[in-house]
Amino acid sequence: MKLLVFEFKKMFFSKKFLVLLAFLVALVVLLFFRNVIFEEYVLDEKQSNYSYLVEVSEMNNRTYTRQLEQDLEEGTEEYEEIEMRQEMNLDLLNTADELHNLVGTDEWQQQLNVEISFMEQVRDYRMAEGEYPITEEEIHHTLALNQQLLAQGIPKEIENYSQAPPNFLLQVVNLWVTLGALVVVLLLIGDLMTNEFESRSINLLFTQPFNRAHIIVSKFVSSLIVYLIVSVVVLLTPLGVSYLFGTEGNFQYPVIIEVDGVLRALTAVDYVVQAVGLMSVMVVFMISLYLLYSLLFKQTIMTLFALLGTLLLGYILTATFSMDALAWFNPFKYVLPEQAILTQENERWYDAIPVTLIVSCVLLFIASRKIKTSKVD
Amino acid sequence: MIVKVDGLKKKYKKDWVLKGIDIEVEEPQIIALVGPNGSGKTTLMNCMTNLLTYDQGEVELLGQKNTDTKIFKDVSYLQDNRILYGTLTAYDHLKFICDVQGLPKSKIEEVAKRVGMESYLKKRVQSFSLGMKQHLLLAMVIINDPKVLLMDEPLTGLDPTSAIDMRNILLELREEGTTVIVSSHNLDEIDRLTNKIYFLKDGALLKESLEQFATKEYYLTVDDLTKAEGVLEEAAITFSVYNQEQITFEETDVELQTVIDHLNKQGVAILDIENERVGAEKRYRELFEGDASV
Repeated sequence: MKLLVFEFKKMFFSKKFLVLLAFLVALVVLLFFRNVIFEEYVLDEKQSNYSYLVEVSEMNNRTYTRQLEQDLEEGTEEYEEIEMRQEMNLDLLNTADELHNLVGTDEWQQQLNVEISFMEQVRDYRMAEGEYPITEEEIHHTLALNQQLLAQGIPKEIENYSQAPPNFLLQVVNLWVTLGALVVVLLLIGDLMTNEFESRSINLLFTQPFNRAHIIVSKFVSSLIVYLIVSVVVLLTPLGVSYLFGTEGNFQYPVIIEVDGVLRALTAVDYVVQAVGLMSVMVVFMISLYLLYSLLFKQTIMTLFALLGTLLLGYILTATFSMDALAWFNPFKYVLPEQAILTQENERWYDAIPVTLIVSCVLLFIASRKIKTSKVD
Repeated sequence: MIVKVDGLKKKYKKDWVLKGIDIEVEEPQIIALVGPNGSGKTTLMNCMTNLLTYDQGEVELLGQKNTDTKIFKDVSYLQDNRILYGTLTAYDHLKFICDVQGLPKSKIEEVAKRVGMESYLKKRVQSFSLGMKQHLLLAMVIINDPKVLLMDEPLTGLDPTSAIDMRNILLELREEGTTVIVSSHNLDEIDRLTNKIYFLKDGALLKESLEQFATKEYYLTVDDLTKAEGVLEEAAITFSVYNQEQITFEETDVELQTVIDHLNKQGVAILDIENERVGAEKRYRELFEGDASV
C-alpha cells in the first residue's frame, strides 16, 4: 500500500500525465464545438444527399422511359418488369423529394416514418433488380434504428455531429475505444518501468526492505488508477460540455448491434458501459504485458515495439481467422472492443473477458517472479 | 560478521572486472574504497547489494545473504542522484523510506535537520542543485540508522562546508556503531575519515592500514630560510624547501617539536606553522603512478 501511494504520486504529479489530461479535455471540447460549427453544414450535406438520390431516381426514370418507348415491345414480360420498376422508382423519387424537404424541420416523427418508407421502397426496388446507391446494410440499420426511435419516442440525432449529451458521449466513447485509450495508455505507461531501469532509479526500489514483487503490483495498480482517472475525465467532459452548451438528449437512445445476423438495439448507456468495460479489460491485459516486457527488455523503445507488435499480431490473427469457437480463449479480442459489441456472430461481447483477465494475472505472476531476480545490468 | 565478501568475481564481456574480492568486517568502522575511474568500486558496491549479478563468490551483510531484501532494514546504500524522482519533493522521498522501513514520520524532520536540508524539504527534486541532491541522498540513507552504510562517491557536488558536515555525520555514525564503506576520489577527505583504505587495482583489492602513510606534512615559515636550512642539515633532519618560502617535512621523518627545538636553539624564529595530511594521496600515487586515469 505504501509503495502504491509512492508509485501513484510519481505518475500523478508527472508533467506528462497533467499535460495529457489537459490535452484530452481540450480535444473533447474542441470536438463538441466542431459539432456545433458544422451543424448547418451537415444538414446541407444531408439535403444534398437526398437531392442526389432524387437525381438518381430521375435519371433512372428517364432510362426506363427510353427503354419502354424505344427498346421494348409492349405486353412482353420484360416490358412489364421495366414498367413495374419505373413505378417503384417514381415512388422512390417522390419519397426522396419528401425527405429532402423535411431536413431541418421539427417534424422528426414524420422524418423517421418517411425514411422508413423510403428504405422499404429501396429494399423492394433492389429486390426487383433495380439499382440504387444504398447498401443492404444501410437499409437494415436505418430501418432498425428508426423503428426503435419511433417506438421510444426519441428524435433522431445526426451521427457523429450531435450536441445532445448521450449522443456526444457515444461519439467520444467510440473514439476512446477505437485506439484512443490504447494510445493514451501507451503514452502514460510507456516508460513506467523501463525508465526506472534506464535512469537507474530502480536501484532505490531494489535497496528497500520489501518483496520486489510489490513493485509490479503497485505499478500495475497505480497505472490502472491513472487510467481510470483519465477515463472518468474523458467520459465526464463530453457530458459536462454538452449539458452546458448542447441540446437535450435521451440516454435510452438506441445503438444498433448485430447478434447472430439479427439487428438489435442497445441503449446508449448500455453501449457506453460495455465499451468502456471491455476497453478497461484490454488495458488490464496491456499493462500486464507491458510490465513483463519491460523486465525482459529494460529499454523503452524495445518494450513498446514488442508490446505494439504483440497487440497488432493478435488483432490481425483475430480479424483474419474466424475464431468464433475460440472466442473464449482469445485475449486479443478487445484490441478494438467496438467490433466485439457491434457484431456478435456466434459469440457474445463478454466471451473473452475471463481469458483476458486470467492471462493478465498469469503475466503479472510471471513478472512478479522475474523481478525477484532482475538486475540493473 | 558485519560484512563478509568471499571470493567475489565479476566478468564483463570477456574481462574480469572483479577478480576475487574478499572483505571481512567484524567491528564497526569506516572503510574507504579507493581506485581510479573504472576500477570497479561502484560495481563492487552494486554486487554487494545484489543490484548486479556476479559470476562467483558470496556476500553476507549482517549475517544474512544479500539476496534477502530484508537486509535493507539495516543496510543502506547511497548511490548517485539518478535514483531520485524529479517530480517528487525531498519530503516525498523521505516519507517513502519511512513508510517502507516502518519508521515514524518524526524521523523526517529529524534527519532533515541533521543533514541541513529543512529549507528545501518540500521542494521538488528537479529544482535541486547537485549539492542539495547529495544532501537528500544522505538523508535517505541515514534516516533508518543503518548498521551498514555503503556510499558511492558521497562527496560529489558538495561545497567545502557541506563536505565537512558530511564528514562529521559519518564520524558520528561510526561512533554510533555504523560500519561505513565509502568510495571517493577526494583523498584528502578520505584521510580525515579513516586510516583503513582498500585500494582497488585491476579488479583486485589491496587492503591496507594506512597508519604508516597517514602522516602530516608540516610547512614552517621562518624569518631566515637559509639559516634554517643550514640548521636542519647539520641536525641531519630530512626536509625540503617548498616554493622557496617554507621548510617542509613529514611527521614520519621527524617530530615537529624536534624541528622547533633545533631552530629555536640556533635563533631561527618560526613565524607560522601549517600542516596537511598526506596519507592516502601519497600511497595512491605510489600504487597508481603512471595509470592514465589517476
